[in-house]
This record gives sequence, C-alpha cells and structure tokens, in this order.
Amino acid sequence: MTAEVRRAPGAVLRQIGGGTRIYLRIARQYRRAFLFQLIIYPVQLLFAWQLWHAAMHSGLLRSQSLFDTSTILLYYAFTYLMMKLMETGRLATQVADDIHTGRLVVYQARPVEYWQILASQHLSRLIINASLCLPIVLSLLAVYHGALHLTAGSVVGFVLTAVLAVLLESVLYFCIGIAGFWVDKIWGLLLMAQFLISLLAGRLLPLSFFPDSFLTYANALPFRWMSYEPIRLLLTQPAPGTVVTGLLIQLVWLAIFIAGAAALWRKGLTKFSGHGT
Amino acid sequence: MLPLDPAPSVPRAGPAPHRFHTARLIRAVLEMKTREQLQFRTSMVADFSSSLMRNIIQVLFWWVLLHGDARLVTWSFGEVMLFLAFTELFTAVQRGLLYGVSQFHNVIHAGQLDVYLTTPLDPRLHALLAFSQPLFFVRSLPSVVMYLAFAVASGATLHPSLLVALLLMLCGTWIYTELQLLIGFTGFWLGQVEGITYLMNSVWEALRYPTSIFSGSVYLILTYLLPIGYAATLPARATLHTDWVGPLLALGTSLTVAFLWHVLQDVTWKRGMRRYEGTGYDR
Repeated sequence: MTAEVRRAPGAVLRQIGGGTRIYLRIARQYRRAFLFQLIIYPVQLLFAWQLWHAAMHSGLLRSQSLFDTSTILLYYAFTYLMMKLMETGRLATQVADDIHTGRLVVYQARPVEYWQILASQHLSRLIINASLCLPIVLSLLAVYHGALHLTAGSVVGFVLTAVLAVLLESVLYFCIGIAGFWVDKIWGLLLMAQFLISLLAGRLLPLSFFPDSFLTYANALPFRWMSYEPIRLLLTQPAPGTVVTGLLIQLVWLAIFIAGAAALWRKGLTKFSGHGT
Repeated sequence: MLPLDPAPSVPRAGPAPHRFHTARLIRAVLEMKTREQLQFRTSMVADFSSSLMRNIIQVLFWWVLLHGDARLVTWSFGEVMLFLAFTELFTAVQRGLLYGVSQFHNVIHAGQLDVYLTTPLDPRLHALLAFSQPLFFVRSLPSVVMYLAFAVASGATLHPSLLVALLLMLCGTWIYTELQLLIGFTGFWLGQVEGITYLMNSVWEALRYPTSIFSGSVYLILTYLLPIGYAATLPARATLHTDWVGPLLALGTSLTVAFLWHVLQDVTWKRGMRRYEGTGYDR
C-alpha cells in the first residue's frame, strides 16, 4: 500500500525539520561514540598534512601554481569535511537494506515520503558531523587566511556550490541504493563507485595534478562538481560569472540525477513486494 | 604359586575422553569457510573487481605524484610500488585470516563470548576462525603481483633479504592482532566500543603511505609502536637492503615489540574475563 500525499513545500520542510530533531535526540544517547568521532577528523588531517609537508620538501609541488603547503592542507580539510557531511555510503546501504529487509513497506504505509525520512536522518547526521569538523576548519582558516585572500564572493560561491555538491552526491548514492531492487548485495557496486568518485572528484589528489589528456574526460563528468570545484572556488578568487556557471552546471546535473532516481524508484517499486519486518 | 594374571582392564564409566586437535580444527574451519565463501560467487567477483579498481587508482595516484625521477622523501615510484605490495599482503593476511580480532568487541557485547566459552577452543582463537575469510587472502594475490611487477619494471631491485622482509610483515600482522584484541577487550569495561573502532580505522589509513614520510613523534609511533611500520615500510626497506644486518635488527625489534604487546593482551584478557558476566547469546 502506498500512501500518496501531496503537501505544500513548507509542510514538507517542517516535517523534515521535525524528523531531524528526533534523530538528533537519538544521537544524544550515543555521546561516547560522538567523542571518539571528534578525534577522527584531526587524525585524517594530520596524515594529510604530514604527506604534503613531505611532498613540498621533496619539491613535488613546484609545478602546481594553485597549491602550496597551506592551501593544500586547506584543500584536504574541506575535502574531508565535505565527505563527512555527506556520508553517502551510509545512505546507499541504508536504502538497499530497507529494500532487502522489507522495511520499505513500513515507510510506504506512512503519510510521509521515504525520501523525506532519509532527508531527516541525513540532515541530523550532517549537523552532528558539521559540529565535529567546523571548529577545526574555522581554526585552520583563521591561521591560513592570509594565504587565501578570502573574499565574500569566494565564500558565498563555496557555500552555494557545496550545498549543491552534497545534494548531487546524495542523489547519486540514492540511485546506487535503489540498485537493491535488482541486486542482492550492492556493496561491490558501492565500493567501485566510491573509488571512482574519489579519483574523479579530486579527493585522492587535486585534479590540477593530472595531465590534460585525463582532465579532458574528467571535466565532462559531473564528479568534479561534487568536491573539487566548490573547494577550488574557495581557494581562488573566482569571477562572479564563474560561480554562476558552476551553479548552473551543478543544477543541470542535479536535475538529471533526480529524474534518473525518480525513474529508477518507480521501476523498482513495481518489482518490490514486502511483507513487513 | 602361579603368577596372577594381570587384572582385566576395567572400562571407564561415562564417555571416552575426546582428544582435541587444534590444528585439525583450524584446518576444518578454514575449509568450511572457503566452501561458504564459494557459495557467493557474485560477491566474490564484485569484491575482486572493487579491489582491483582500488589498486589501479592507487598506482595512478603515485604515478601522477612521482612520475619521472621524482621522489617523496627517499621513495621513488618503484619503491612505493614495493611498499604497496607489502601493504596489500598485510591486508590480505589481516582480512583473510585475522578479521575476527576486529570483531571481538561485538563478541563480548552481544554475548557471543558465552558460546565460545563452552567450547574447548580458546575464545580468542575461536573468534579468529569464526570470522575468517580465507578466499580474501587468495583474491589479494593478483594485486600483490601487480605491484611487484610495477616495482620491478620501475627499476626497484629485490634482494634476498625479501625473506626477512616477509617475516617482518608477519610480525607486523602479529602486533596488529594483539592491538586489535586489546581494543576489543575494552568491551569488558566500556560495553559497546564502536567509536574506538572508527578511530583505529582512521589510524590504519596511514597504511597507505610509507611511515618514513611522517616526521617527529608521528613517525616514531607509527614505525615502532603501532604495527603500521612493520606492516609494509620496514619490509619494503628490508627488501631493498643489500645487507642482512639492518633487516635482521628490525626483525629482532619487531619480535620484541610483538611479544610485549602479547603479554599486555594476555593480562588484559584475564582481567577482563574476571569481570565478565554473560547472559547468553540470542541469535
């Protein structure tokens, strides 16, 4: 049984907000895990800083105009921040689990759309992860702001493109989770997607390090807009036209992904038969 | 007087004592786990493909960073490939045969330890066997060969001290096992410790890089205290050594460190068992 509900956008947002508050209260019960997670992000940054400090002393950054030790550290600080905010692997496995265990039936019977429940859960996780990472990021910005020459335009450009990047990647991983309608275990597909995205989104290595022949293909794909381009806008001083073009490209890809996700979801639901949990 | 016939042997009361052969049991469990894994061929193919993709991307990363004559500290591209071969081998042994140690906190928390305590096998060994995935070890071997091929093709020369290097890597695996068990044993005092697991997983990320690129106290901790240095950096260095002294000294140090971690693990286990109260395991 599917409860079809048409609600005003304001009501949908209130519902998502309410769901988020519930999940935040649940997260408060696991404060100890929260404390350990406080240490994970600085540990990742420590390794990145040590690696690139060694790389700089070895002369490996000489050919890079965009990066020196401070900017590359900030690059990875924001890269890991965006990865923590998204937690997209968890989104895909959750969707696939809900399909395989039949839990989807429960959500279908509620007067709330499944995507709204997912949005609530992930918004709560985003808030928690942001609270873990932002103090460190802001401290690094305070220390290295001189190297960056931050402007209002670069900050606004970064925030807007980062929000769209989070949405873009979340919808993509939602599509991977939907593969659970057809595939028994999605983790192989998920791992391959994660490795590919980490390469093409510049998470492993900034895209400016790659040769032009590689970038010709990488630039045609949407992955650079999931991480590399938003952060590059922050580290450089982009013209307003560049930011607007970037936002438009992201919106186009987002529309394509949402249309694809909706089509896959409808097709998957016709195959789905759940019996409760 | 005629000598008395020896008294006839009196049958024991109750069942005959069962001789418990640990080695045979280990072999039987590993065979069973292999057959179990073979039932999921699609998963195996997906696992192999994702592993191969990950390793190809790693090669690409280091090639982009170190193409030509570039070196990261003292590491050339070929030497990094040798390092990654040892990393992959370490991961293969760890995930294929020793995965259970990273799950021990669940064994305590979920009450599964009660089941293990009723068997004649040491619960720690039982957990190791229960979670082993022998085919994982096999599926990693092509990646090891790939890295070695890249290393040799890039001019890295492998010396006979490779044998010592393999022993060093196995010592690193031993230290890793002891450390992971210790982390799992915190479950006796702290209950569910998933947060610690996430933290240690982020530390193991350092396995992707030679520890000699790190500096100061980070280098010392990762090289000599945690098994990361023994896993791949020291074995790779040992393989590139033309003499035996350095590798053998490193092996001696690693054996000492492994033994000390083992003593600490054993003491913690006994203390933890004194406080353990199981309420059974409901699957």
